[in-house]
Amino acid sequence: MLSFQFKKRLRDFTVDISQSIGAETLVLIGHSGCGKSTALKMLAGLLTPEDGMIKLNESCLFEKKQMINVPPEERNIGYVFQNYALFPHLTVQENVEYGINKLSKEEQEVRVEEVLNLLEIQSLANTKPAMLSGGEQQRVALARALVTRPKLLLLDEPLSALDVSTRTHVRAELKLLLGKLSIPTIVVTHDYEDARVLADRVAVMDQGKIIQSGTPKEISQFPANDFVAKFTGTNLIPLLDQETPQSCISFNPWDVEIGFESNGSEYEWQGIIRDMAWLGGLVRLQIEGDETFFAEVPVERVEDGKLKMGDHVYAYVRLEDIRMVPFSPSFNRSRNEKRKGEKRKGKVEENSKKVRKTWKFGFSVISFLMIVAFVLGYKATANFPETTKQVNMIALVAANATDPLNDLIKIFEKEHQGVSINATYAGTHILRTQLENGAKADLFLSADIKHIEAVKEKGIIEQFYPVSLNKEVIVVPKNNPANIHSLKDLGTNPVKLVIGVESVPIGRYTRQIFKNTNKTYGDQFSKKVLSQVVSLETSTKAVLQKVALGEAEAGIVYKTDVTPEFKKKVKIISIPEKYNVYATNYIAVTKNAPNPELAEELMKKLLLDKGQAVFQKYGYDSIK
Amino acid sequence: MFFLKTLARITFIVIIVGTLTYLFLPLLSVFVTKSPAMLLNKLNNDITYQALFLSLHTTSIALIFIIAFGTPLAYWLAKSSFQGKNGLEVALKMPIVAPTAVVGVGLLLVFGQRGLLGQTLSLFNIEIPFTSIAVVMAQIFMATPFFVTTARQSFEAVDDQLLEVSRTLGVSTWRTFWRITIPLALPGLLSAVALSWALALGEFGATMMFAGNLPGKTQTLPLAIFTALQSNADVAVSISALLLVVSFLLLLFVSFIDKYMRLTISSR
Repeated sequence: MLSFQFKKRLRDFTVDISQSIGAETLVLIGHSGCGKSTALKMLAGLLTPEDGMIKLNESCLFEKKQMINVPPEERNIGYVFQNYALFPHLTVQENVEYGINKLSKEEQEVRVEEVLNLLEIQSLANTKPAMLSGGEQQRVALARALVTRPKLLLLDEPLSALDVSTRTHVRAELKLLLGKLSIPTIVVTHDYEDARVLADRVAVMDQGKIIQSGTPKEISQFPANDFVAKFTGTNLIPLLDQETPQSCISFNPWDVEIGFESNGSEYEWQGIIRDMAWLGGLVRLQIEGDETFFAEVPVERVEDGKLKMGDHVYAYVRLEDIRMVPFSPSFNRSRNEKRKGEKRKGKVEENSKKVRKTWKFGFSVISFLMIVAFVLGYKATANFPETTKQVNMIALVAANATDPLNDLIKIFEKEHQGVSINATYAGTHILRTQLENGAKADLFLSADIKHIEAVKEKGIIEQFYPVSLNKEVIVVPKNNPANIHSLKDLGTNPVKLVIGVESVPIGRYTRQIFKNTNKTYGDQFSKKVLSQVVSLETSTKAVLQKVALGEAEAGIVYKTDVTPEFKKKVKIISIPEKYNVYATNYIAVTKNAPNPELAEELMKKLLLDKGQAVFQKYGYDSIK
Repeated sequence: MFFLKTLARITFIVIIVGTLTYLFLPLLSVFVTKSPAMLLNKLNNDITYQALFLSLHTTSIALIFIIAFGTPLAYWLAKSSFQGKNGLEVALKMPIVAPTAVVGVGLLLVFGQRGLLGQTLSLFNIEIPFTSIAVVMAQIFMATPFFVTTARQSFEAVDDQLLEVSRTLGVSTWRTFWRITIPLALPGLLSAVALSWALALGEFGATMMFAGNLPGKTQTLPLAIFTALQSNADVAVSISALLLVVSFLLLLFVSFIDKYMRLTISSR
């Protein structure tokens, strides 16, 4: 025994229904989106109603006021989904066992066998769902729901996933099964044929409400309005002889007589044949005039009378075949709403189309403008060198000399109109690899004698000269957390020290400094300092960055690396002259320089007073 | 007409071959240009072993954390809808597009000694930067978004109706998760794991910035490659080859498992 009454707001309407059913089958019929599946989900507990109650066999499953809401897993309601929702990774047997795996093994076996027998699917036990036909899947889904011995069975469109040829057969079997089970069952469908066969009681739903309920015979003979009539295939026509219609008449399509002439009968209509459907011995005609209705006439009549599409015909029904149905206010409602709905839809679509068009237009205009701008811009730059005769020089410069070289390049360019120097600033080893692989360059500035010697050996340059001297310093964060004040503290205070990796010049110089210090502080000093290292960086900038961020407590970098910007964040501790190692930058003009004279001139400038002054400005020592 | 069709066909093939060549040649060149004996010889040193061991060690730990914390997040994103979900999903992908060095700085700003949480942590004498923990954290940070995105997609692919039907059969949400969601999402989850593992293995920028570069402690394979590039390109190429082989085997293994599992789901 199930009784329920609940409400839930959906997007366009409110589902508001109440029913009470015994051990019988109730079929909820309606168009898709009328709220019937929502109703099933609320019964199963998968959705929560906004108001109302659900009672099943004296136990309360849902009661808004008492805040009762039993979760789906405790409701003991069997639910079969439209597409059956079998677990694809489990066999039929495992699918069926799924809901009862808390029972004892023997009990499980008994129940599974029983239900597999009931549905005659024992032979499929070890098959995976993907290998089953639609009808077989439905039986497995039913078996899986029934094995838990549910108190209520909910079937959502149980036949719509089947093809037409198997549907009739499966429908009849389902009817038999439901009869055997005799538990309250609710079936949802949009097909009147399903309802007619399966239902003890039918409830027609529209817009979340039940319009009419009764036995299949009752609602077919006395449809409450044209909506119900359409489902059952009955004709329902309002009597228009009164000012406001009080009643309607209902008649079966097979009771309609068709002729080409009026016979003066009381219930006679005229119209045009819009559609003809051959159904075995009958032809179903759709006749459209003041009223639209269906007539089913024997095939012989159609052939003898030579009826065809578009014919103007008279149709009449004998008095004894007419049933009077009280006029329901929902008659016109459902008619008018349909028309309104159609109109509204049309407008919305038009609007969205307009918006889309504007968008498309805007988008293409913008992309066109962008392409034009791009092409013009490219042309502008591409034309530039041709109008003013320009010499392009290329310099490969070790990263530490970025600032002085930038200044010097600007000075040089000012003195030589039409000369533009492109400088690449990178680690010396990268520049060396580029040179060795045939990069075109006029000038090469190396931070490491090793690399420039290697380049010379390969014959890329002839001669190189020292151009600037640099010193190493200790840098610590402004607050100096490790309390470092001298080189010696690096070996005595616990400190997170960051230095360069041994393969880059700064790393080698740093290790040389520690070695030099060994003479004063003992042989273990450099070992001790190196054991405090937490990270080996590949560039001085990375070392400086880590100290500036406060992560490292000390680092060793070139003096020139500590720009005014960094001076705000770090403190410099100088390394005594006797331990310090000079880092020398070397410079050379390449053998196959594109602009050899200019390159020689630039190199000379760097080596002589003016150039040296610039280097000194950035903290380098002069080579003299 | 026939001529045009042939031309279109040839263009199509050329595009495909060209793209594949472009994508594979730089990686293959690592193996082709140097002799295998030399590669093996260069690999045979402590630094490489340390880096390999550290990489495997840290990525395994990172992976455990990614799975443990990424899976619930992915599930939540897949199965719930709320205002601003789209925004959150886009924000979650930010670490993928952010330059890795920026991520490193970001991690320092949070967990560094002067960072938001770092100061609190240092009260308990926990210091993260320059430790293996920092390596793991950088890897987690970079790889989690990939894991979450991929895992979310595989959770989304599990039909909600299966979960609903499971509940009507008397199985709680938690048990449904283990009996239905996980088995069905597993192939997708595995490729999520593989992808994030490979990413963690290749993580470079954030590790360099946040964890530093000390052999045996924080120097993972990518950092070893970068450091080796400063001096000896051959060693760098050898380690690159090693990293590529390890990643390739990993991805291959997972794709086999994935194929096998999809087969078991769909047929008998």
